[in-house]
Amino acid sequence: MSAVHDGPALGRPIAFTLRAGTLLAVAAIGAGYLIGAITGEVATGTIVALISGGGAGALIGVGFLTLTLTPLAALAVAVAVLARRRERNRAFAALLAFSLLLGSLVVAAVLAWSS
Amino acid sequence: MPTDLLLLLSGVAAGAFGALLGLGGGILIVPILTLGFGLPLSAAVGTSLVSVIATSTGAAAVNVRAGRADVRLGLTLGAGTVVGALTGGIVAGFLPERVLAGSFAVLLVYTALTMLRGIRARGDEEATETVDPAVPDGPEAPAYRSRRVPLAIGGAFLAGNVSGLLGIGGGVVTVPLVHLLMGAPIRIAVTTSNYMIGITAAAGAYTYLFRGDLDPRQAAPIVLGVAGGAALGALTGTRLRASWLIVLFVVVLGYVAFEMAMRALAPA
Repeated sequence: MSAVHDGPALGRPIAFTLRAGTLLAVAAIGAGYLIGAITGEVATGTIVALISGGGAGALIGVGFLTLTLTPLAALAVAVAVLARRRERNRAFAALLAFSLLLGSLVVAAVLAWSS
Repeated sequence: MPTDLLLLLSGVAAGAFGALLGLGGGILIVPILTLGFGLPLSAAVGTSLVSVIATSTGAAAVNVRAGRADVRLGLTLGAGTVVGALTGGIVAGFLPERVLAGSFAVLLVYTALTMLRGIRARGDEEATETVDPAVPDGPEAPAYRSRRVPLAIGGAFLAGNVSGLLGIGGGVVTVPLVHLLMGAPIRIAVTTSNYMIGITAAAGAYTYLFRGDLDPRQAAPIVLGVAGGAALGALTGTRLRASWLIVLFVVVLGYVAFEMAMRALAPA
Protein backbone atom coordinates (compact mmCIF):
# COMPACT_ATOMS: atom_id res chain seq x y z
CA MET A 1 0.00 0.00 0.00
CA SER A 2 1.81 3.14 -1.09
CA ALA A 3 1.18 6.37 -2.91
CA VAL A 4 2.75 5.11 -6.10
CA HIS A 5 0.30 2.22 -6.33
CA ASP A 6 -2.75 4.44 -6.45
CA GLY A 7 -2.08 5.33 -10.07
CA PRO A 8 -4.41 7.28 -12.30
CA ALA A 9 -7.13 4.57 -12.31
CA LEU A 10 -8.22 5.32 -8.76
CA GLY A 11 -6.78 8.79 -8.19
CA ARG A 12 -8.21 10.55 -11.25
CA PRO A 13 -11.92 9.82 -10.78
CA ILE A 14 -11.68 10.62 -7.04
CA ALA A 15 -9.77 13.84 -7.71
CA PHE A 16 -12.33 14.80 -10.39
CA THR A 17 -15.22 14.20 -7.98
CA LEU A 18 -13.55 16.22 -5.22
CA ARG A 19 -12.67 19.07 -7.58
CA ALA A 20 -16.12 19.18 -9.20
CA GLY A 21 -17.87 19.09 -5.81
CA THR A 22 -15.67 21.84 -4.38
CA LEU A 23 -16.05 24.09 -7.43
CA LEU A 24 -19.85 23.65 -7.58
CA ALA A 25 -20.15 24.32 -3.85
CA VAL A 26 -17.90 27.39 -3.96
CA ALA A 27 -19.79 28.74 -7.00
CA ALA A 28 -23.18 28.31 -5.28
CA ILE A 29 -22.02 29.75 -1.93
CA GLY A 30 -20.23 32.63 -3.68
CA ALA A 31 -23.25 33.48 -5.85
CA GLY A 32 -25.62 33.27 -2.88
CA TYR A 33 -23.34 35.41 -0.75
CA LEU A 34 -23.06 38.10 -3.46
CA ILE A 35 -26.81 38.17 -4.12
CA GLY A 36 -27.44 38.36 -0.38
CA ALA A 37 -24.99 41.26 -0.07
CA ILE A 38 -26.70 43.16 -2.92
CA THR A 39 -30.33 42.50 -1.93
CA GLY A 40 -29.70 42.68 1.81
CA GLU A 41 -31.51 39.37 2.24
CA VAL A 42 -30.35 37.57 5.38
CA ALA A 43 -31.25 33.90 5.50
CA THR A 44 -30.88 31.60 8.52
CA GLY A 45 -32.22 28.25 9.68
CA THR A 46 -31.79 24.59 8.89
CA ILE A 47 -30.46 23.44 5.56
CA VAL A 48 -34.00 22.42 4.52
CA ALA A 49 -35.38 25.86 5.47
CA LEU A 50 -32.57 27.60 3.59
CA ILE A 51 -33.09 25.65 0.38
CA SER A 52 -36.90 25.76 0.44
CA GLY A 53 -36.83 29.50 1.23
CA GLY A 54 -35.40 30.31 -2.21
CA GLY A 55 -33.22 33.27 -3.16
CA ALA A 56 -29.71 33.83 -1.85
CA GLY A 57 -30.22 31.53 1.14
CA ALA A 58 -31.18 28.65 -1.17
CA LEU A 59 -27.98 29.06 -3.18
CA ILE A 60 -25.86 29.09 0.00
CA GLY A 61 -27.79 26.08 1.32
CA VAL A 62 -27.25 24.16 -1.92
CA GLY A 63 -23.54 25.05 -1.70
CA PHE A 64 -23.22 23.76 1.87
CA LEU A 65 -25.11 20.58 0.99
CA THR A 66 -22.97 20.00 -2.13
CA LEU A 67 -19.79 20.52 -0.11
CA THR A 68 -20.79 18.08 2.65
CA LEU A 69 -21.98 15.50 0.09
CA THR A 70 -18.68 15.66 -1.85
CA PRO A 71 -16.74 13.23 0.44
CA LEU A 72 -19.72 10.84 0.21
CA ALA A 73 -19.70 11.06 -3.60
CA ALA A 74 -15.92 10.50 -3.67
CA LEU A 75 -16.37 7.40 -1.51
CA ALA A 76 -19.05 6.07 -3.90
CA VAL A 77 -16.64 6.57 -6.80
CA ALA A 78 -13.88 4.79 -4.84
CA VAL A 79 -16.17 1.82 -4.09
CA ALA A 80 -17.09 1.52 -7.79
CA VAL A 81 -13.47 1.74 -9.02
CA LEU A 82 -12.11 -0.67 -6.41
CA ALA A 83 -14.93 -3.19 -6.99
CA ARG A 84 -14.32 -3.07 -10.74
CA ARG A 85 -10.62 -3.73 -10.07
CA ARG A 86 -11.58 -6.62 -7.75
CA GLU A 87 -9.74 -5.13 -4.79
CA ARG A 88 -12.25 -6.65 -2.40
CA ASN A 89 -10.72 -5.69 0.97
CA ARG A 90 -10.30 -2.05 0.06
CA ALA A 91 -13.66 -1.90 -1.69
CA PHE A 92 -15.17 -3.25 1.53
CA ALA A 93 -13.36 -0.60 3.63
CA ALA A 94 -14.58 2.16 1.29
CA LEU A 95 -18.11 0.68 1.30
CA LEU A 96 -18.08 0.60 5.12
CA ALA A 97 -17.07 4.27 5.30
CA PHE A 98 -19.67 5.16 2.63
CA SER A 99 -22.45 3.27 4.45
CA LEU A 100 -21.65 4.87 7.80
CA LEU A 101 -21.52 8.34 6.27
CA LEU A 102 -24.79 7.77 4.40
CA GLY A 103 -26.29 6.41 7.62
CA SER A 104 -25.29 9.53 9.57
CA LEU A 105 -26.81 11.70 6.81
CA VAL A 106 -30.11 9.76 6.91
CA VAL A 107 -30.24 9.80 10.75
CA ALA A 108 -29.55 13.56 10.83
CA ALA A 109 -32.28 14.18 8.21
CA VAL A 110 -34.83 11.94 9.96
CA LEU A 111 -34.15 13.56 13.35
CA ALA A 112 -34.55 17.00 11.78
CA TRP A 113 -37.88 16.07 10.15
CA SER A 114 -39.28 14.45 13.28
CA SER A 115 -38.44 17.36 15.60
CA MET B 1 -12.21 46.42 7.85
CA PRO B 2 -15.67 44.89 7.29
CA THR B 3 -16.45 41.74 9.26
CA ASP B 4 -17.02 39.66 6.12
CA LEU B 5 -13.57 40.49 4.77
CA LEU B 6 -12.02 39.52 8.11
CA LEU B 7 -13.94 36.24 8.04
CA LEU B 8 -12.78 35.58 4.47
CA LEU B 9 -9.13 36.28 5.37
CA SER B 10 -9.41 34.14 8.52
CA GLY B 11 -10.74 31.36 6.31
CA VAL B 12 -7.83 31.71 3.86
CA ALA B 13 -5.32 31.48 6.75
CA ALA B 14 -7.08 28.51 8.39
CA GLY B 15 -7.46 26.67 5.06
CA ALA B 16 -3.82 27.16 4.08
CA PHE B 17 -2.58 26.15 7.54
CA GLY B 18 -4.91 23.13 7.68
CA ALA B 19 -3.97 21.88 4.22
CA LEU B 20 -0.27 22.41 4.87
CA LEU B 21 -0.30 20.20 7.97
CA GLY B 22 -3.19 17.82 7.24
CA LEU B 23 -5.23 19.19 10.13
CA GLY B 24 -8.28 20.72 8.50
CA GLY B 25 -7.98 24.10 10.16
CA GLY B 26 -10.65 23.61 12.84
CA ILE B 27 -8.00 24.22 15.47
CA LEU B 28 -7.94 27.85 14.27
CA ILE B 29 -11.52 28.35 13.12
CA VAL B 30 -13.28 27.51 16.40
CA PRO B 31 -11.26 29.99 18.54
CA ILE B 32 -11.43 32.66 15.80
CA LEU B 33 -15.23 32.41 15.58
CA THR B 34 -15.91 32.15 19.32
CA LEU B 35 -13.30 34.56 20.69
CA GLY B 36 -12.89 36.88 17.67
CA PHE B 37 -16.45 37.07 16.36
CA GLY B 38 -18.50 36.09 19.42
CA LEU B 39 -20.29 33.13 17.83
CA PRO B 40 -21.87 30.50 20.13
CA LEU B 41 -19.77 27.32 20.35
CA SER B 42 -22.35 25.15 18.54
CA ALA B 43 -22.40 27.54 15.54
CA ALA B 44 -18.59 27.75 15.57
CA VAL B 45 -18.22 23.95 15.62
CA GLY B 46 -20.80 23.57 12.81
CA THR B 47 -19.00 26.16 10.68
CA SER B 48 -15.67 24.53 11.54
CA LEU B 49 -16.85 21.08 10.41
CA VAL B 50 -18.06 22.42 7.05
CA SER B 51 -14.77 24.36 6.73
CA VAL B 52 -12.76 21.19 7.45
CA ILE B 53 -14.62 19.51 4.58
CA ALA B 54 -13.73 22.49 2.36
CA THR B 55 -10.06 22.17 3.39
CA SER B 56 -10.11 18.44 2.77
CA THR B 57 -11.84 18.49 -0.63
CA GLY B 58 -9.90 21.57 -1.80
CA ALA B 59 -6.50 20.16 -0.83
CA ALA B 60 -7.23 16.52 -1.67
CA ALA B 61 -8.44 17.45 -5.17
CA VAL B 62 -4.94 18.85 -5.80
CA ASN B 63 -2.98 16.15 -3.93
CA VAL B 64 -4.88 13.09 -5.15
CA ARG B 65 -4.68 14.25 -8.75
CA ALA B 66 -0.91 14.78 -8.38
CA GLY B 67 -0.49 11.37 -6.72
CA ARG B 68 0.75 12.83 -3.46
CA ALA B 69 -1.88 11.15 -1.25
CA ASP B 70 -2.17 7.44 -0.54
CA VAL B 71 -5.86 7.05 -1.35
CA ARG B 72 -6.03 3.32 -0.57
CA LEU B 73 -4.50 3.91 2.83
CA GLY B 74 -6.85 6.86 3.38
CA LEU B 75 -9.89 4.71 2.55
CA THR B 76 -8.77 1.89 4.85
CA LEU B 77 -8.04 4.18 7.79
CA GLY B 78 -11.00 6.46 6.94
CA ALA B 79 -13.41 3.62 7.70
CA GLY B 80 -11.74 3.27 11.12
CA THR B 81 -11.99 6.99 11.91
CA VAL B 82 -15.67 7.19 10.90
CA VAL B 83 -16.55 4.19 13.11
CA GLY B 84 -14.51 5.79 15.91
CA ALA B 85 -16.16 9.20 15.51
CA LEU B 86 -19.66 7.73 15.52
CA THR B 87 -19.01 5.59 18.61
CA GLY B 88 -17.33 8.48 20.44
CA GLY B 89 -20.63 9.47 22.01
CA ILE B 90 -21.13 5.98 23.47
CA VAL B 91 -17.62 5.85 24.97
CA ALA B 92 -18.10 9.35 26.42
CA GLY B 93 -20.60 7.89 28.87
CA PHE B 94 -17.99 5.59 30.40
CA LEU B 95 -14.86 7.76 30.52
CA PRO B 96 -14.39 10.95 32.54
CA GLU B 97 -13.34 13.76 30.16
CA ARG B 98 -10.54 14.87 32.50
CA VAL B 99 -8.86 11.44 32.42
CA LEU B 100 -9.17 11.27 28.66
CA ALA B 101 -7.84 14.82 28.12
CA GLY B 102 -4.89 14.20 30.49
CA SER B 103 -3.96 10.88 28.85
CA PHE B 104 -4.26 12.47 25.43
CA ALA B 105 -1.97 15.36 26.46
CA VAL B 106 0.71 12.87 27.54
CA LEU B 107 0.33 10.94 24.29
CA LEU B 108 0.68 14.14 22.24
CA VAL B 109 3.86 15.18 24.07
CA TYR B 110 5.34 11.71 23.50
CA THR B 111 4.35 11.88 19.80
CA ALA B 112 5.91 15.35 19.42
CA LEU B 113 9.19 14.18 20.97
CA THR B 114 9.23 11.06 18.79
CA MET B 115 8.71 13.17 15.65
CA LEU B 116 11.54 15.51 16.63
CA ARG B 117 13.86 12.57 17.33
CA GLY B 118 12.92 11.17 13.91
CA ILE B 119 14.37 14.24 12.18
CA ARG B 120 17.74 13.68 13.86
CA ALA B 121 17.70 9.90 13.36
CA ARG B 122 17.05 10.18 9.65
CA GLY B 123 19.74 12.76 9.26
CA ASP B 124 19.53 15.28 6.50
CA GLU B 125 18.23 12.93 3.82
CA GLU B 126 14.56 13.76 4.22
CA ALA B 127 15.05 16.97 6.17
CA THR B 128 16.69 18.77 3.26
CA GLU B 129 14.24 17.48 0.67
CA THR B 130 12.69 20.51 -1.03
CA VAL B 131 10.66 18.99 -3.84
CA ASP B 132 7.82 16.55 -3.29
CA PRO B 133 8.98 13.27 -4.83
CA ALA B 134 5.59 11.62 -4.86
CA VAL B 135 4.76 11.94 -8.53
CA PRO B 136 2.31 9.21 -9.62
CA ASP B 137 4.18 6.41 -11.32
CA GLY B 138 7.15 8.77 -11.65
CA PRO B 139 10.74 7.64 -11.31
CA GLU B 140 11.19 9.59 -8.09
CA ALA B 141 8.08 8.25 -6.38
CA PRO B 142 8.86 7.11 -2.81
CA ALA B 143 9.12 3.34 -2.50
CA TYR B 144 7.67 3.19 0.99
CA ARG B 145 5.52 0.36 2.14
CA SER B 146 2.92 0.86 4.86
CA ARG B 147 3.68 -1.11 8.01
CA ARG B 148 1.42 -2.35 10.81
CA VAL B 149 -1.84 -1.82 8.89
CA PRO B 150 -4.13 -3.69 11.37
CA LEU B 151 -2.62 -1.75 14.28
CA ALA B 152 -3.04 1.50 12.34
CA ILE B 153 -6.74 0.72 11.71
CA GLY B 154 -7.10 0.41 15.50
CA GLY B 155 -5.25 3.73 15.84
CA ALA B 156 -7.57 5.32 13.26
CA PHE B 157 -10.56 4.13 15.29
CA LEU B 158 -8.96 5.74 18.35
CA ALA B 159 -8.31 8.94 16.34
CA GLY B 160 -11.97 9.13 15.35
CA ASN B 161 -13.05 8.36 18.90
CA VAL B 162 -10.81 11.04 20.42
CA SER B 163 -11.99 13.46 17.74
CA GLY B 164 -15.61 12.81 18.65
CA LEU B 165 -15.00 12.87 22.40
CA LEU B 166 -12.75 15.90 22.72
CA GLY B 167 -13.92 17.93 19.73
CA ILE B 168 -10.52 18.09 18.06
CA GLY B 169 -9.64 17.29 14.47
CA GLY B 170 -8.55 13.73 13.77
CA GLY B 171 -5.52 15.04 11.84
CA VAL B 172 -3.60 15.60 15.08
CA VAL B 173 -3.65 11.82 15.53
CA THR B 174 -3.72 10.52 11.94
CA VAL B 175 -0.63 12.42 10.69
CA PRO B 176 1.69 10.96 13.39
CA LEU B 177 -0.07 7.59 13.01
CA VAL B 178 0.66 7.37 9.28
CA HIS B 179 4.13 8.89 9.61
CA LEU B 180 5.49 7.21 12.75
CA LEU B 181 3.55 3.97 13.02
CA MET B 182 3.14 3.14 9.33
CA GLY B 183 6.44 4.55 8.13
CA ALA B 184 5.06 6.88 5.45
CA PRO B 185 7.02 10.05 4.57
CA ILE B 186 5.66 13.14 6.36
CA ARG B 187 4.26 14.63 3.13
CA ILE B 188 2.31 11.45 2.34
CA ALA B 189 1.04 11.44 5.94
CA VAL B 190 -0.13 15.06 5.62
CA THR B 191 -1.81 14.64 2.23
CA THR B 192 -3.44 11.34 3.19
CA SER B 193 -4.74 12.93 6.40
CA ASN B 194 -6.12 15.81 4.33
CA TYR B 195 -8.10 13.31 2.29
CA MET B 196 -9.35 11.45 5.38
CA ILE B 197 -10.46 14.39 7.53
CA GLY B 198 -13.19 15.37 5.07
CA ILE B 199 -14.78 11.94 5.47
CA THR B 200 -14.64 12.15 9.28
CA ALA B 201 -15.89 15.76 9.40
CA ALA B 202 -18.82 15.00 7.08
CA ALA B 203 -20.16 12.44 9.58
CA GLY B 204 -20.51 15.22 12.15
CA ALA B 205 -21.45 18.05 9.79
CA TYR B 206 -24.81 16.58 8.71
CA THR B 207 -26.19 16.89 12.24
CA TYR B 208 -25.26 20.59 12.42
CA LEU B 209 -26.68 21.31 8.94
CA PHE B 210 -30.02 19.68 9.62
CA ARG B 211 -30.27 21.17 13.11
CA GLY B 212 -29.65 24.70 11.77
CA ASP B 213 -26.53 25.26 13.91
CA LEU B 214 -24.84 27.10 11.09
CA ASP B 215 -25.29 30.78 10.34
CA PRO B 216 -24.89 31.30 6.58
CA ARG B 217 -23.94 34.96 7.11
CA GLN B 218 -20.75 33.98 8.93
CA ALA B 219 -20.22 30.53 7.42
CA ALA B 220 -20.36 31.60 3.73
CA PRO B 221 -17.34 33.98 3.71
CA ILE B 222 -15.25 31.72 5.95
CA VAL B 223 -15.95 28.60 3.84
CA LEU B 224 -15.12 30.53 0.64
CA GLY B 225 -11.83 31.66 2.23
CA VAL B 226 -11.01 28.17 3.48
CA ALA B 227 -11.54 26.62 0.02
CA GLY B 228 -9.11 29.11 -1.53
CA GLY B 229 -6.62 28.80 1.32
CA ALA B 230 -6.66 25.01 1.12
CA ALA B 231 -5.67 25.00 -2.55
CA LEU B 232 -2.92 27.49 -1.70
CA GLY B 233 -1.72 25.34 1.23
CA ALA B 234 -1.69 22.17 -0.88
CA LEU B 235 0.51 23.86 -3.48
CA THR B 236 2.79 25.51 -0.89
CA GLY B 237 3.26 22.25 1.02
CA THR B 238 5.22 20.69 -1.82
CA ARG B 239 7.83 23.46 -1.63
CA LEU B 240 8.34 23.36 2.11
CA ARG B 241 11.16 21.29 3.59
CA ALA B 242 10.00 18.07 5.24
CA SER B 243 11.84 19.03 8.43
CA TRP B 244 9.89 22.33 8.56
CA LEU B 245 6.63 20.46 8.14
CA ILE B 246 7.56 18.26 11.11
CA VAL B 247 8.64 21.24 13.25
CA LEU B 248 5.39 23.10 12.44
CA PHE B 249 3.40 20.00 13.26
CA VAL B 250 5.26 19.54 16.55
CA VAL B 251 4.38 23.15 17.52
CA VAL B 252 0.69 22.36 16.87
CA LEU B 253 0.96 19.13 18.89
CA GLY B 254 2.49 21.13 21.76
CA TYR B 255 -0.36 23.66 21.61
CA VAL B 256 -3.06 20.96 21.60
CA ALA B 257 -1.27 19.07 24.42
CA PHE B 258 -1.28 22.29 26.49
CA GLU B 259 -4.99 22.81 25.82
CA MET B 260 -5.75 19.22 26.82
CA ALA B 261 -3.63 19.48 29.98
CA MET B 262 -5.52 22.66 30.96
CA ARG B 263 -8.81 20.86 30.38
CA ALA B 264 -7.64 17.95 32.57
CA LEU B 265 -6.42 20.24 35.37
CA ALA B 266 -9.31 22.74 35.29
CA PRO B 267 -11.39 22.89 38.48
CA ALA B 268 -14.59 20.87 38.27
